[in-house]
Amino acid sequence: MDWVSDPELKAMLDEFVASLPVRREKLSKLRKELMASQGPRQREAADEICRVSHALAGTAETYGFPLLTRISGALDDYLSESDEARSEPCPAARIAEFTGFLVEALGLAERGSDPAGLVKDPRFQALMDAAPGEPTSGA
Amino acid sequence: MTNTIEILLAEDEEHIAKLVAFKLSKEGFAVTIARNGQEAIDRLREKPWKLFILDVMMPYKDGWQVLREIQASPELKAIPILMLTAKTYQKDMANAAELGATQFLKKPFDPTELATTVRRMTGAPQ
Repeated sequence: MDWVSDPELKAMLDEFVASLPVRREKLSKLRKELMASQGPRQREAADEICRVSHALAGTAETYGFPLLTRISGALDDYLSESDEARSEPCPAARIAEFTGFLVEALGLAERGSDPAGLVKDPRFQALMDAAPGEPTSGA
Repeated sequence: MTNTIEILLAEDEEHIAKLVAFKLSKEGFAVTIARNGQEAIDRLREKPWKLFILDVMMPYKDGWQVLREIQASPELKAIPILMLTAKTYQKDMANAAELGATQFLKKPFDPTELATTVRRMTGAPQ
């Protein structure tokens, strides 16, 4: 994909990058809600974080942000598939920690490039370790 | 009378929908976008689409509900379905195949791979 010289693709890429602050702010707000609430409201916040992460995971790599897809995809997998994240009471502090990492990654990606340097961050490995195994590839 | 191959895309994530429509229109396909599962079902009944590209996670009716409605509808069940999904766990793929999905493509996807898959599924020249 010629993201630079094709004006239509460049406009779509610019629109995607412009969507990143909106996603970041939404995740930040949900993270605060997660930490401030209890019971069903806390679980609702976690589920909404999962939905935002899922949407980002399915989009970012296609637009040239592979690490953003890995981080958001791992958070989606952790929240939707892991016994730990689905347990009661909701492990809010752990979810907030991972969500905060994604928020930071989005902040870096807003500059227009994949936050590749975060692969060396200890939080990246912690998130990968927490998420269930990679799904099989589609065909 | 036109020979344009008409494709219905059910996708709520606007950045993916735009990119798919852009790529496939460059390849000569005509793409109509439905933003949720219910709109997709309504659009499916409008005309004989050559291919239905279906995202799994959507508002109002998700991809699984849409698949079940298609299976239950004699006039819709023959349409080829390409499912877009961020997760391709074996259990999900087996369920989708049972519900009539013809092919999977894992999100995020390479737009060129998508175009190749669409050409193959529609019988368009490679």
